[in-house]
Amino acid sequence: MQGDSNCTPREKEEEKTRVEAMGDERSGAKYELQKNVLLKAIRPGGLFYEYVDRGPVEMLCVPHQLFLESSGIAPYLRLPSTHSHNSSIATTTLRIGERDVALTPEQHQQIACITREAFLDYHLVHFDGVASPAFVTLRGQRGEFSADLQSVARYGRIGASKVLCELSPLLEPDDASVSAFHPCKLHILVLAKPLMDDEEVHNLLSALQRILPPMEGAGTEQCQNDQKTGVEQTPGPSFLENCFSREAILNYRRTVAKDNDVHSREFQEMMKLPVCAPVAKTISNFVETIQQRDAPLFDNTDVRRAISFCLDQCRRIPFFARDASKLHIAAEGFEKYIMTKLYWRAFGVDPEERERNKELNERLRRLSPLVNAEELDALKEVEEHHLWGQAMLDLEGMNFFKTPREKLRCAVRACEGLAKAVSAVLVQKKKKCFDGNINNNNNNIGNNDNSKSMDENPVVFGADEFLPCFMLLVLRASPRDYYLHVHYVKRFRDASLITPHESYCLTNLESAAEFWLSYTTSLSRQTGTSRPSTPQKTIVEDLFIAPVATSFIVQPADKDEICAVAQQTESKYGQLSNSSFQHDFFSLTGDVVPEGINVAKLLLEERKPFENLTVAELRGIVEEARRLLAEKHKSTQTGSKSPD
Amino acid sequence: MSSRACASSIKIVLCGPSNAGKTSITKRFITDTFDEYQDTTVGSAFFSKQLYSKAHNTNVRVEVWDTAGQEKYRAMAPMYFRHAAGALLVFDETVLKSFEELEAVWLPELLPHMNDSTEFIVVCGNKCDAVLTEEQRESLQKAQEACRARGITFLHTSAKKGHNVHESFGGLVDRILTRREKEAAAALAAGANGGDGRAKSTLATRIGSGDNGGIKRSNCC
Repeated sequence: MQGDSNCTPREKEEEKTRVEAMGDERSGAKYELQKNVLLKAIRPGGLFYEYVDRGPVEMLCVPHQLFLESSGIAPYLRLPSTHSHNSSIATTTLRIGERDVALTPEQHQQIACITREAFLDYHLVHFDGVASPAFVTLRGQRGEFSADLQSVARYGRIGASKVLCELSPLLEPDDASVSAFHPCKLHILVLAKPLMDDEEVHNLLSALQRILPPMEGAGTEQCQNDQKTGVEQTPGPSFLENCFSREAILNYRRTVAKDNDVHSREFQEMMKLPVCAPVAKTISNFVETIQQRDAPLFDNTDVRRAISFCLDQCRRIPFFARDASKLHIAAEGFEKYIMTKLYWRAFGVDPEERERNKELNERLRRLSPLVNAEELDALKEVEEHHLWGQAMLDLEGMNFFKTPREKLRCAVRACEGLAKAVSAVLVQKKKKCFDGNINNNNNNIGNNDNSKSMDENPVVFGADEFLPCFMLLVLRASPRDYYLHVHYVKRFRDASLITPHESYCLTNLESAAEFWLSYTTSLSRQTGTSRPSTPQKTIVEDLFIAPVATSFIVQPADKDEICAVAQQTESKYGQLSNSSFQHDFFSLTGDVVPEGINVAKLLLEERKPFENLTVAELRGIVEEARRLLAEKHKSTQTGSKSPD
Repeated sequence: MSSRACASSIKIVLCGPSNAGKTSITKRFITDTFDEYQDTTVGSAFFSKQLYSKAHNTNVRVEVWDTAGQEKYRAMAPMYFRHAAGALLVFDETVLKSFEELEAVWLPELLPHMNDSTEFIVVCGNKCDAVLTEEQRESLQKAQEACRARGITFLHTSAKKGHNVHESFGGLVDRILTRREKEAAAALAAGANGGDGRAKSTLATRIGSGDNGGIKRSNCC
């Protein structure tokens, strides 16, 4: 059926193209001006008239009316503005074919939002330069018009869309009723096909149909990628399903990137400098060496050593030595580069961890319908706050990134969003308490005093309020591979780069995982006071079982976890202890993986001669060092003493 | 970025039963207008503040890690104790068995993370302004004697009136900084005396990455 429906529009389009070719362009323009539902939607009263436009854009590309009808988008674009809708009637009617669907205000709003972001934004175009045919859409897609403006093609897509006709802006540029980049003020090109590929159109339609009442839904919805399937296996809020389309993931990644002070481009530009060629080669060779191993990465010993070596090289380059922030950018860049390349050899490679992850997933899925907020001492109102959904999405967002830092940033965003929700709920509670003027017990009296003193200050709450809500958040969100994410970040996030607040959030993640793994049902929990000691015993037993079960491989991981979570700036004595740990890791790694010996010893050898050589000779030394035979560990230590 | 520019940071964990006033004490410490505080971080149970230590003539960033005091979350507390430089144990002086609870539940969990030393543990009896009955005073007397016997600093605090709040954190920070200075001096002496010490010191410098290297160099200068 879908095949047939797919063929029919194309045949119609071909016929339409022929008719257009024979006919007059003016008649086509008039027809589109009168009939095109997208042009109607941007006019007053239309779905997009209240559009909060983002600039800069110069042109609106409009798929022609025949396409809009045949694809099924037209009925949605005929909806009125959500603004006028809110002020007048309770529900809106969406007519699809011969069927009328009643929409709630929320559904209407969702349709407006999706059609704006997943359809209109594809067709708002900003040119690279005044005379340049290259452009970028609000969705970030790039493309180019042909020289004669008769066709338009998107980069990375096969084929081009023909420009059927051109229209003048619907409003004058100096019209004050709408802002500068409103679609009505833009030049309009009518295209034979949209600036979207078939998959994107299909995703848009699936998202729109999913909003409609399911009983009256037309046709079956298909999940085209694994993430959708995963979501439906674990049914969650509707916003999560909407957000799992490919465009939404890209949007989310962009949002998180804005939050971070990410300097990936600067890092790449640095590595292209000739002076950085030896460092770039070292890091590439390291990644290649690890990729050629049979064994996966169980700990971060090799990664830390490689990054440390590269940073030592960077410190000898004047370009970096003058600016500490450049060194920081380089350190973050090395970690991102290495962990992105080695992700599938480092993430979830421990069978023991995969078992625990599976157990945690099952527990969360089983407990989520059963456990309510009161049982956790959490604030039940927090689930109704509008930031709650975003915080759940942020936890799921850890699946969208590969680097430890970005995964951790998702967790930090979740904690920050939840903190705002908790703060808002507490403010409301204190207002009610103050208004009610209940003086029956001491807690309320104390709360009144607190509320008075807090009039000048924002509400400050502690872990007593926050942590129960965080446990509830993890339970409701039930993120996929939660346990694996936590341990991956613990192991591979550089301890010196992590900020204290990030470390606190990471500990929250870890405590939530352990809490839910050791959680018992509320009935047995309420029974006796001896119950609280049980989770602790379980945790202790698990900590002891893990190393024994997996022989010696896990031991480096455990020690690295200690290093990875290290908080403070340690004293020199502490650092010496760390160095002895590093040697232990090296020995253990060498015993387990013979190739590791080569990599580590090569790095150690290269470290010594560089101190005596100029930057110009680094390249040759790197080549020579690779041919030398690996010395024993003790010899390397002896060699490193001589410079002192 | 600003936090990385700090010379050093101190992690202090905050624990005790719920409703003892942990948050109020921290809020008073963080937002006290009599301090010349800069660059404070408040939110999601993590608090951070730049503190000037007069005794050591240096700035230090104090990171306060709050823990949940409810019974069902006490098993999670050790995760927050990891690598803590100091600890504040807060109990409610108006609740008769609050200190016993503190002594029985939190102290055994905390000591292994402090190398079984009580030097950097401070017990705060909060809400001292609300103590009214003789029975409460007797209970406090016993608590104070128990702390003295174990070498733990005991302070009566009032978050409402600001009584002893800064002394709790400030005294703890000063003792931690004193200990670090001694350790640094010992490390230098060991480095000067033995070759092994030098080699380890050099390796530690090499293994350190990012701003740690810069910090060490600035310390040497």
